[in-house]
Amino acid sequence: MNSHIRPAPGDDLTAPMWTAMRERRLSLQQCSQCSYTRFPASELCPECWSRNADWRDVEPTGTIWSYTVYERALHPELKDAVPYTVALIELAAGPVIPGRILCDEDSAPIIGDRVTGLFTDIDEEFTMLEWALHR
Amino acid sequence: MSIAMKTALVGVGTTEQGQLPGRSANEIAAEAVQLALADAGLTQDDVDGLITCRNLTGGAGIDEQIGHMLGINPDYSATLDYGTGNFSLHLGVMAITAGLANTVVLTYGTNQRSQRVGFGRTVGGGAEFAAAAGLVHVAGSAAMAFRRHQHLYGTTEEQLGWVSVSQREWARLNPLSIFKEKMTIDDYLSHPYVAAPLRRPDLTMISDGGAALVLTRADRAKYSPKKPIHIVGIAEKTALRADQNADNLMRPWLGATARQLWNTTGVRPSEIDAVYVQDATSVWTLQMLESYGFCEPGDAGPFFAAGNTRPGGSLPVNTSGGQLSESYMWGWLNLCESVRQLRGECGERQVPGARTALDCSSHDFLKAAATLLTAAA
Repeated sequence: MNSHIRPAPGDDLTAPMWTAMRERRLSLQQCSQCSYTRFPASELCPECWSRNADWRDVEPTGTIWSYTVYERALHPELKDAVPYTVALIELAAGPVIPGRILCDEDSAPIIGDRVTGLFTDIDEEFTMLEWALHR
Repeated sequence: MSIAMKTALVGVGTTEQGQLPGRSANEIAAEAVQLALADAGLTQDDVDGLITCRNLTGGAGIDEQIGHMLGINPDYSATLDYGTGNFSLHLGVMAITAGLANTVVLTYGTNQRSQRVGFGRTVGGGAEFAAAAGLVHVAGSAAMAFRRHQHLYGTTEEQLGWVSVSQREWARLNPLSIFKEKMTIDDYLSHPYVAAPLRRPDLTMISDGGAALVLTRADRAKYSPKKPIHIVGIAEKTALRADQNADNLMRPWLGATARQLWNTTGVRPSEIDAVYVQDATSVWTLQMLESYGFCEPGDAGPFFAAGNTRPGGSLPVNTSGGQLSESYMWGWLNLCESVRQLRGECGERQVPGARTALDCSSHDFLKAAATLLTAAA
């Protein structure tokens, strides 16, 4: 199935996030010095330039900043996914992250909707967050 | 130190646009150089600066490659990574005002259509996670930015459609443009969504082509056979912190670029005769008109729908058809069109009495640049 673009394996910086996702946890990098939550993960805190960070589990909840519905596959690895809905989600934990919304034509999202993340196994190695609307 | 009126564009060159099979990007860039120098009445011996624009893929567009192909030894040469027209032009202005060169030729060539370069790359930080979520192609991000605009201001899809319809009307008057078929607002609305609420006409194309500019010292420009077009002001801002910036898809930092330009030049939006926006998507044009103060935040929809930007309108925008209809050339063709309009060379699409033009561009969600050009008396 060409439904997802898989992350490249072996990126030490982001590996802890993908491993946690496999274990049904949303884990984000938090600066040990100033507590800023970094997304994407980085070697350097963009706030205080500390190199130290811990991985911290956060609640997969947030609100929709905006969304789009892909009616056409704009990447070959997504040709079996269309139509699908992608939103930018303002996490309660701070960062804004993109994610697919579980919805259909009868349940289109509205900007500001609250969403909860569900962990979906895409294949034997890759688990992704998908988001359900609170209605 | 002000750069105002210290440099002028004295030559523009545009190759055929569309599909140029069997040609390398560097050779297309070289053809544009030849055309621009001929337009300026200059030869390669007059050039002591070269600025080129790295291609997105394929490793082409480097100054060392193109300078070698042209057989020149300029005093100054450089390549910008993603050298959108304005950014390259500003580097040229800096090189001349710093005394590193007197006459700089700037060029961009691409064969991305013939090479079947895709447009599906993810832009901005967190790219891998975004791709995994299915957020690919600038269309998705632009669609979200527009839906947010709709949510905040009540902008309609039909109002956005007037961006593409207006530019198509201009394109039909431009022999260089690729898309010339008539398109009404009903035609626009009948297109299916690509990334809703955006449709195919809201997005640029992948095309081959070349464009080049000749920039020289103002005191030399007066000997130019054609009317020199002076650089009044330049401005740039970045948002390199990318998706960690609040409301990043709305690109609020475009407004900072605008304020810098208006503040340093003292020119007001009401004094602009034509506006050029590097438009990978129609949403960028909407954002730019609000950011640069041609209408209030949230008012761009009604502004387009009222026909202001169409031929004969109060604020002609992208009079060549822009990247939605003319060709996808990273804003370089907009600069060429600005020069031709300010010279008064544009025939049926000529903006009567055009003297001052604003050219604004952006690099995805990371950078913005603006140039103010004038046909000095």
